[in-house]
Amino acid sequence: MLVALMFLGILMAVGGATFLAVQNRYRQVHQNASWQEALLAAESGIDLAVNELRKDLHAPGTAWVGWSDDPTAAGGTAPAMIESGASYYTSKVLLREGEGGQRSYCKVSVDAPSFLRDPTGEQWYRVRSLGVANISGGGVVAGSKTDLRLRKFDLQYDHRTGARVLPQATRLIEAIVKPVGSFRLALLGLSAINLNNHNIVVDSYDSRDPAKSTNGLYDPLKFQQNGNIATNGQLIEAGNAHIYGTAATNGGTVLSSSNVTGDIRDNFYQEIFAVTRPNVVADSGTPSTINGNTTIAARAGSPTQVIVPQINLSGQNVLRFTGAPDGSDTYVQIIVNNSISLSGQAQIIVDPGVHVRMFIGGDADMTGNGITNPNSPLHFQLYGLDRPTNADGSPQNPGQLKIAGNGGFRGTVYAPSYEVAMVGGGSADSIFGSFVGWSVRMTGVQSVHYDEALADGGLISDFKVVSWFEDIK
Amino acid sequence: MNFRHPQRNPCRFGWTLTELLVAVSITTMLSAGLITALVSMQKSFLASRHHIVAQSEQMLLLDYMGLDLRRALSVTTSTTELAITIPDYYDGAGQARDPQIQGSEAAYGPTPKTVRYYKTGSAIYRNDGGTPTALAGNVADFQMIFQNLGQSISVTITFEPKYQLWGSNTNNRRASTTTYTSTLLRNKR
Repeated sequence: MLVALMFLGILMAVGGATFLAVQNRYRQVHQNASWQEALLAAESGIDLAVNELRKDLHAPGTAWVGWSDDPTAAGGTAPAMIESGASYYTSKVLLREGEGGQRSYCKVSVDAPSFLRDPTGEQWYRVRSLGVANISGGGVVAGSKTDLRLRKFDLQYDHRTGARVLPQATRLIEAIVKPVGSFRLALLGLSAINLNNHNIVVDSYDSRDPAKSTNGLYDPLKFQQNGNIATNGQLIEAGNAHIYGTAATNGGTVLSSSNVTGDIRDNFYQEIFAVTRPNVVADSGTPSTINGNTTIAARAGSPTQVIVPQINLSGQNVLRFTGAPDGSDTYVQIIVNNSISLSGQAQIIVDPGVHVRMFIGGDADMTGNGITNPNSPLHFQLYGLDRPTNADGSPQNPGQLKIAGNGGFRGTVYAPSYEVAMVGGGSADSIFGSFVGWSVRMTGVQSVHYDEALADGGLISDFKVVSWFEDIK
Repeated sequence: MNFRHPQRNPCRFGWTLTELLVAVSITTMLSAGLITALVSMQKSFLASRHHIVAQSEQMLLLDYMGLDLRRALSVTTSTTELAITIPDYYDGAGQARDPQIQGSEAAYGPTPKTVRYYKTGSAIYRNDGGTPTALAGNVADFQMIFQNLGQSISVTITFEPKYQLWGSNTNNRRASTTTYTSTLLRNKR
């Protein structure tokens, strides 16, 4: 009897120890799974916030609906547009409720602090997303000390607020989101890109970095390999051109790509924002027609507003944008309701420090002596106004935008309803900037040098997460 | 003469030698069986514990690596070491810093921190700011293979956990357990 009891005791002890070990293991697995799920919830919160920021661009009326400026998310309101200094919070966004009422959700705050304004005045945003996932199996500690140093579970109290809670795992992510300009690529053709000469070169430089440019200008000895080209369509005919960057399609093909130094990708898509006519009136004293030599004075602060039916320069006509004598920043915005034509030796001159933003409704034929712009390409931005589209989104009658001649071009083009053509000559022409069109075509011998600083300029077309950090305190 | 049969005293009833031998034999066999079962259970229990510990350590190591890689600013890899620089997010008091715009990026603090993963002896260490912590100490050997894909890092770690039963018996060492993880570097998007 004694022996039997002894053996029974030993068996129970071994069985109990095994049960405890197995139970601890199961509990640890559940807790770790909740910890992983909390990360998914937190990252979803970042995506939700970025999505609201994007709505500000593409569907402002629907942005920030359901968000609150009350930190408890119990009340308050959020205006349509997020403003500097403001903070917006969501309530608990229920992402999942599984079997047994296991939930995971996120709480998100977005703020626009003054120290996140860049030198150009653009506001960056700080997004904090707390992912929360309930833990099953009760509030019992499992795992080693090293485990618990990594995974801080709230088994009874929230370790951040001290509030009593049901067992939960939390992950806190802080992301910094910045606006992205319209010119993120050297060439972007919404339907296609066609390069038909193997002597074409597309590369990049960074006017902000002395190691990647000289005095802010392109230096062939410091060229970079971010001259990326892409299409939302299915075809890039690279023509064996020297592309120092990636070539990307939207599930399509890059033909004749032997001289593409970067990746060949087929997973590209970029949202295009509408280019609408600015609702402004012309400043008094500005010209109403530009058919010959014309001078327009830019000014600091709000831009000089000019509206003309067309620009028609020929012979040795010059359209000059003058700025401050010291070359400080001045601005002018010009709306051309119809077409632009430069021929002969006509040219457009942009003085130092002047920023020109030009909108056109008709075609543009920019030959002649082209654009003389000693500044960054960002100082001459050409936007093609949107045109009526077919059901598939293609323009019914795409505009024609041609850059040719011997004067070169230093500027940017954003014309998603236009067929953009860059026609080179027999010698190596250089074009500096970024070009967005319904289609983009390059012929002849030409080089496009993309200034990587352009990605942060122009009208805001998107938002990008530039910093991601998980706060593990 | 009056012969009397001696009375059998029930209180003095005993086992015969044969009975005792049979009983002892049965008890011995039962005890041997129970002890064998106990030893087997003990071995199985120990092996399970080693298995659990090994898996926990593998999971811990991969989770730590994943955490650091996700928030990495840059990654340097070799066959024996993984060096990760992360933002200097916390100030001297351990509080979160406010980010500052530097060029086209946002930065925390003056100098990014470096976290290193490496092997010393039979353990994999995580060294954060000069403080090494053994994350996987129950590992006989491992290899780390990194594939730097620019925006993501793939890590392959081959563990050789010892599911040993007694002492230094290495006959029970498992051949290998290979784990994989691929992490998108969030700050490289």
